[in-house]
Amino acid sequence: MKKTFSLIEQLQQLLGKDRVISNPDELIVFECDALTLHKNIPEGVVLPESTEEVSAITKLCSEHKTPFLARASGTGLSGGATPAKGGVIIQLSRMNQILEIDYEDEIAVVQPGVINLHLTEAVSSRNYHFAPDPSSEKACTIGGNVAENAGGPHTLKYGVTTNHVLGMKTVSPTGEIVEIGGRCEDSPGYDLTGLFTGSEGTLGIITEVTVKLTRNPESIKTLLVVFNSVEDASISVSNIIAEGIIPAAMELIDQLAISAVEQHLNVGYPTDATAVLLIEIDGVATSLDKEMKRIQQICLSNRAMIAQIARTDKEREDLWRGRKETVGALGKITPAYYTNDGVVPRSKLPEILADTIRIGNKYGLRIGNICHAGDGNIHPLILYNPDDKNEVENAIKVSEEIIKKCIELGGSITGEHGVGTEKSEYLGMMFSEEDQEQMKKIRDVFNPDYLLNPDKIFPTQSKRNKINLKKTKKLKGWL
Amino acid sequence: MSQTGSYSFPIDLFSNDERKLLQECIHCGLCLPTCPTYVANGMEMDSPRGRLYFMNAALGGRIGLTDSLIKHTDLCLICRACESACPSGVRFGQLIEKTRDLVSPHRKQTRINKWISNTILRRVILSHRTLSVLAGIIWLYQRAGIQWLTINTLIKYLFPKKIRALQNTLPQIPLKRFGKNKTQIFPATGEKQGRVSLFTGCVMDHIFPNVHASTIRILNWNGFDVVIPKEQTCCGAIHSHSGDLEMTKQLALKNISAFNDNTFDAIIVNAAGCSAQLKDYHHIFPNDPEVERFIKKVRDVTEFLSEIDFRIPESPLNQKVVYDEPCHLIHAQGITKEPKKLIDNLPGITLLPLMESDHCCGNAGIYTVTQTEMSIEILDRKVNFIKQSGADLIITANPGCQIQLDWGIRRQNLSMNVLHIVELIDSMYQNEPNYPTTINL
Repeated sequence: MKKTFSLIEQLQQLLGKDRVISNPDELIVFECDALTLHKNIPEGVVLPESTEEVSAITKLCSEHKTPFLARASGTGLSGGATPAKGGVIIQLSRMNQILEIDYEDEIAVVQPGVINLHLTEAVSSRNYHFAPDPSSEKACTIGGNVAENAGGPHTLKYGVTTNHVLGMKTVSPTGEIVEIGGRCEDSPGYDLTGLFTGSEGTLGIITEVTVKLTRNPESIKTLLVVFNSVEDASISVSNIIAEGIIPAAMELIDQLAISAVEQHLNVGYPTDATAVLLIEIDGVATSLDKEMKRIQQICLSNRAMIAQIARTDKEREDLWRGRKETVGALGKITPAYYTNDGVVPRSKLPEILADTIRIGNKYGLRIGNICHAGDGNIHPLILYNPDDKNEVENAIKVSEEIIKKCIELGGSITGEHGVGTEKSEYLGMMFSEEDQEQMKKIRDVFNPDYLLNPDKIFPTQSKRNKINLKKTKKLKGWL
Repeated sequence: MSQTGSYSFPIDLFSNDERKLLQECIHCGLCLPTCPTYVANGMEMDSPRGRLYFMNAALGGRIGLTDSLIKHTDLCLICRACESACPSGVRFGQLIEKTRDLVSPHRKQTRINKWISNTILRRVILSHRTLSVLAGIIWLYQRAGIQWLTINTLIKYLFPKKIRALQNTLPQIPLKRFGKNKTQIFPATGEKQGRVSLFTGCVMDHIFPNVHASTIRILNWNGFDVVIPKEQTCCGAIHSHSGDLEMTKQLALKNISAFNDNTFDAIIVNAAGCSAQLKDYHHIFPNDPEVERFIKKVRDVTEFLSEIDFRIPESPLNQKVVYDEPCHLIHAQGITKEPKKLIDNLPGITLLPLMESDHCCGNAGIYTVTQTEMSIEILDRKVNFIKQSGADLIITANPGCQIQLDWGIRRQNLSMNVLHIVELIDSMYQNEPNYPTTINL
């Protein structure tokens, strides 16, 4: 205890008292991110304002052998910013400056605390945007997007965060400031930028990111299609892709999710629909009409009730607001929810969506579904009451069964939310112990004492024993 | 880590409905970037999500009524921007006001706080006559050019530091005030469209009598008789924001009875903070048909002008303006398109975009006095965006915002004006034949 106290004191000397939070009453608000199932209170929170301060902080924490991790808006859904082993949270919300925008090279250099949508807003007058668009884009930060390799509805056409990151400045656990990647595509040597993107804050703390800016499409069309069955909707998705059409986004929302959205947001989803598809295509204006017509035909041939194109920008914005804020709107129908994240091959969508409902029924829990249908990325929303121990346990069981099912169907345990604390137990379902050991060797190169964001991604010893290991992939040969 | 007074949170603090509201926050975090205090200091405790987390923790007995709970509750502006952002529709304002009401007896009572809640809020602002005298003294004081007395000499120690700081925020007080000795009626000009009543509030009569005069003239010019009932009083917003629910109730009852007249088509309010408060009376008296009838008639003046067949001024005014949205208009009442459309339709006026026009300016009632440092930080950020916009005139629709923005541009030595939207419209009507020119103030 004494050791921690002196660390806090040293941090206070470094940053001043008002940028170090150590009052236990105040620390409770940092016990979880947007995944409220897993909680742990940190011993301190610090608010650095520069790379050099982050470096000094990590050095101090390492000297004191105290775990630490980075956090900003805390909108992550896999517990990536939860202090699983206590220690110090490095809160990056004050490092929120856009350092440079270069339209000739089509890049921006930003600090990690810049809000995703703020970057798009800063470049929109010049017809650019930042392509990764997680549903939390209004609040989530680019540092977090890079750490989790975040996706979003437009991932289908534009790729995930890693496709838009060129380089970064990072701070190692012992305080070295290391620049990786650069301002151009494909730096020589190992692709460390790719390795750091999606490393869930376990390899280093990102303090600057160089990202690509994407030119806005000339024209956009958004279609809302109403179905009487989830199956018809998901078959349409596969049919559209099979036709050779790659929409910018293709989202499925089911009845329960719609009912939450329409209670407060009122964006115009039909509440009697069993499922809706939100399909967006973009590109050169002249090519869109034909493509849209074909999409409508496919949907109608799959028994769609209505296939309505948004007539105004306002209508389009409303449709997207509804989709992007679905998770937040669940508060209207449940005191707590657990947003799961799994992937299946696109063609297996009808099967997995039916299974989620079946599994929910088995445990007496309501499940809503929203998915990035074009990617086969499902987000079953498991509704539960956090004050009912039984329901909490069941929510976890439901999640486990759904994830198992995803793997059975040839998919994976996470599409874009990351493993974090949420799915670390499930990693063994995909990778053998040997595979995991190989991956940990990579981590140990950058994070040898495992003080930086511990207990993430890999199962902790006690949990590992519970999981029935299944060897599905072998890495040993080539690592 | 000082924890003076660790009291437990009474379990019945929130009604069942309010507990349900609290549960509707599912920690998504979409409110964070809309919260001016979070934007300023980046601390989760000063975000709406963090504050709700405190309320939940306190309800569950995890934390008591400690200094830190009070501190973070008090730092909230109650601008309700988080309500606009919340996908679940959590009514944060209602919850934080309840929490303030609860913590207020446990607050460290500084001289200034006591003075504000007992003398200013409960007496001074409720008496038209006292306010008149006070405004007269301030007018004389400002006119005599003796501000240096309280800034540089020993006399300054007679006043609390915060009050000394406050004098900088005050705009020039006009000599004329809006009188309320008797019920007044101002008849419509030309063809009569209807009959409305005007809510005049408390300090506006003295600091911004011109806003009332402008409101009356433009309503008359658009064909409405305007009645000003004598018995009305302060709306109670400041009392409910600072957690004095008892006083809030008394004031609400007085106003509901003062405006109980079937001949009024609407109750017009030209202060967004007041219109928001009047519309919230049903939270104080749930399921009361008389209250519902009252609320139904309340219209912010910007809302009302966009509902009627508004007379577009004839001569153009070539000015580049920005519109800074009062929190209590956009967030508390969801009124944002109406005033912008109204301004945009005025001939000659160019409405420029303003970054973070939906963020609070930091006035928030008595916040400038109680949380001066944070208020200034928020204000300076606002004024920087205004500078970047390229406008030469700032339009808003609430007296608090007018005072604060005026102070902001004086702080940075800018030569700009701040006008209430009705003042702008009134000035554009001025040259039209038969436009009512005098209102007996």
